[in-house]
Amino acid sequence: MPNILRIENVSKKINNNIILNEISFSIEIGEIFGLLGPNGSGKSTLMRIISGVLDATSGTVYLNDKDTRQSRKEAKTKIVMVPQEFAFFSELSVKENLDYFASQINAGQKRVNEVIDSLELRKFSATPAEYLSGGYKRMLNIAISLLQNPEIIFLDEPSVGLDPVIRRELWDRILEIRAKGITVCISTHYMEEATALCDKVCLIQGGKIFALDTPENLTKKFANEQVGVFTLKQLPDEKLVSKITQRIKGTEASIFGTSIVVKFPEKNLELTEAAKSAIESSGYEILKLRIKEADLEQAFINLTGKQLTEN
Amino acid sequence: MMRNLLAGIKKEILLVIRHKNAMLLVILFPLITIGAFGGLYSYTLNQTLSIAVFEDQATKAAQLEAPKNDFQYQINFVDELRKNKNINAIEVNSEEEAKQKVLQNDVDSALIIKRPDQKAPYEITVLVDTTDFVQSSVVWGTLSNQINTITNNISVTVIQKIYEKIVSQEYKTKQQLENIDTFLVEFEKTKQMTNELYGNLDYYDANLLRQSIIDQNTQLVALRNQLYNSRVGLYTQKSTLSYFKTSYTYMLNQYGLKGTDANGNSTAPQGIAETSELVSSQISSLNESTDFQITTYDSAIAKLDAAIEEMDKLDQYFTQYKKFLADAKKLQVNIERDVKESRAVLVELNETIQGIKQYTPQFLAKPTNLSYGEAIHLPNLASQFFPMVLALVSMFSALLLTAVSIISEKKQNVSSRLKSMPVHKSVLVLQKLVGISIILIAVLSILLFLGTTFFGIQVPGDPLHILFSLALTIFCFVSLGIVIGSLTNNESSAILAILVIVFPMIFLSGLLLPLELMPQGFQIFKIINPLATSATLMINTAIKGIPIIYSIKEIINLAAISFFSLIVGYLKYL
Repeated sequence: MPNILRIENVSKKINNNIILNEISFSIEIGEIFGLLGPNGSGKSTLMRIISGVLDATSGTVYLNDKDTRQSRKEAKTKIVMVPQEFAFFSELSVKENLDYFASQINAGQKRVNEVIDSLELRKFSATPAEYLSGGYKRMLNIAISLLQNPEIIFLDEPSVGLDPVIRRELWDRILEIRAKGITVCISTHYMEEATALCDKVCLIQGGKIFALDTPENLTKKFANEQVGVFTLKQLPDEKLVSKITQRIKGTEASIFGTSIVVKFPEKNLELTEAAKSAIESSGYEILKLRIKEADLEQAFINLTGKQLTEN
Repeated sequence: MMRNLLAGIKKEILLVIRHKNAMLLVILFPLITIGAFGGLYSYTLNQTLSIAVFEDQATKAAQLEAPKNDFQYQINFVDELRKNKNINAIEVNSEEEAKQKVLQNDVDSALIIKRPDQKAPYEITVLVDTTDFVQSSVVWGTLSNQINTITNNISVTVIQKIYEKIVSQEYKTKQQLENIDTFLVEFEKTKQMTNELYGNLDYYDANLLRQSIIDQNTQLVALRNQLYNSRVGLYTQKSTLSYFKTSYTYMLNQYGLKGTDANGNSTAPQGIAETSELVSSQISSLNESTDFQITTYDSAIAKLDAAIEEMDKLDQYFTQYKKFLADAKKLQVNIERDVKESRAVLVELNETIQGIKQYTPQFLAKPTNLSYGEAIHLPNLASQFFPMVLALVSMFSALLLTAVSIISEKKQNVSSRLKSMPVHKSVLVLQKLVGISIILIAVLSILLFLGTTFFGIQVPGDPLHILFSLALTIFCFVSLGIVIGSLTNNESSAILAILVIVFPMIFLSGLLLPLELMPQGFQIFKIINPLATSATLMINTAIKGIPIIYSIKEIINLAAISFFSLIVGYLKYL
């Protein structure tokens, strides 16, 4: 598929702090592109630069091979950004907000109704935005951006603060948007979100791109280990940690409350059994064992040495 | 464009209506302001002023004394003050007490009245609380007016009495003039007579008369001398004759010619005796004749001497009389001059009286009758200050509402969103300007309505001109609000910025202190201070009812401030 957006060597400095450093990538038409990185990694700044809210210190953004600085109005029409924060008038109703923003971009009532229906906001159209649930506020945030019928939509941390059910709903809406031929770019620090939605993921940390590929490939390349979480009846101690790591080479173990988390160097059930044996032989009773395979987050950690989320 | 604009206006109105604080700011603040202001000032002109009055003992004593003549007057100032129903005069015991009552706001003002004696004028000091500019002005105006009234009454009373005295002299003056005129007529006759007498004296020249008398006298003396000489001749002749007789007799005797008669008496010879007898007789006769003549001559001489003496006396009298007449003539001239001068004085006095009679005592006592002609009738102080209140409310509401609205949009990330959308910044600025302006114009129009309906404020101006002034004022402050909102990122910064701008604007608006009282350099704030300019514009169009074309300077000022504010606001917006 041809590229809709191409970023070349985009850098951003604010007060001598490098926020973005020589970022380059491209997004194909119709794909869902993920920018995955922890808070403060530069995702939002990059999105703001692409959507024209911020100017880059250096580098170029091309939309359909046109420099967006040369065709700023066209870029603003075709690229929309859904900011991480809610960006609407909380005192106005859903309909009033949509009407106001629609009037600013000369979108008609038909488009307003389409957007309301597509994001299932009809039943809340008269509700003041401040009384909407977090999920519907997020929907409204997206709905406003969709009013101008963009070619590419940037969603900055769209599922922050949402419960899993609403998050799933949001993902469905995002997939529907993509289904309508709109290219989607999501910035997120949720691994599952990137894995579930994105065709391609860009791992970004400290203003630099560490990797860019499909979630599957990234996981394969950079996260082949597995983790066993043993929930014990008694509180484990450091002796147990030492016993496990000494018995199984290349293993790391750490204590979280009554659980001991053992990170194995590869996916291998024999290693799990060995760890189980070491724990039980030390007089601990295992209440529960959960095996967790490596994922995109692990790949990120492996690549950057940092966690995606503070937890 | 129009759809954008209308949507923006609708949005601003909805936000204000639904935002509690905005509603407070836009509706409640102006309402409270106008309510408080209107209530405070709408009846100020009619309120009773309480005045502490202190009269020193000498003044009281002077008043207690009965007038000694018609020109002395006796005024009790407290009673006079109480004649004004708007003044509540409270007597106090000392000057200091009066002053303290003013400072403690127990009274609105104090009067210190001093009059050392009955003939001295009243010395009145009005103590006002100068920290209360408006109240002190009202007090000053009311008291000045009342004291002027009292003073005028005194003047009229005194002048009335003087007038009566002067006018009563008119008849006497006329009588005097008539008497003088009569006298002058008579005097003219006397003068003529004196002149005639004097002229006659000149005609009958005393010297000539006397010379004539002297000449006659000389002739008489000469005649008398001749008579003396003749008498001497006669005496000589008589002696000669006696000697001849003697000699002849002797001779006759000697030569015997002398006979003796029968009786023995000697007799002259014949012939001779007869001759001798004859001679003797003739000589005797001649002697007698000579003696008679001498006696006659002596008598004549004596009479002439007496005549000469009388003539000398007459000459003396004549000379004295002439001198007397000359002196009389001089005296008459002086008398005539004095009398005429007196008459002129009387004429002048009469003319003065006639002149005075043309005027009434009231005019003479109070030739000018000062009164305030109202080019515009302002029924109360609220009307005077209402434009400034409108300007103040416009300023506060527009600055706060606009700045807070922009900051609210920033905080709600609407600004960022709009910035990323294909919307021209100028359209957003225009929406903000027009939207908030329409809200405020509506609110201030309601205020204007409330002011005129409930607080008796008169707005004689053309409604369209008033609306234009109001709109321009609001545009200007909304433009400034856009600048403040664009340059600040939160409410506290905006409010701080507003305070920094607003306080100098209020201070230099003429609301607290007339700008005319400030140094010349500060007069510039009348032009560049939008609050002062908008207040002037509102006064001109709303209260004075002057067509807006005559406020072109203010319009240009406000338009220029709006323009530059919008330029800055546009550059910094979003």
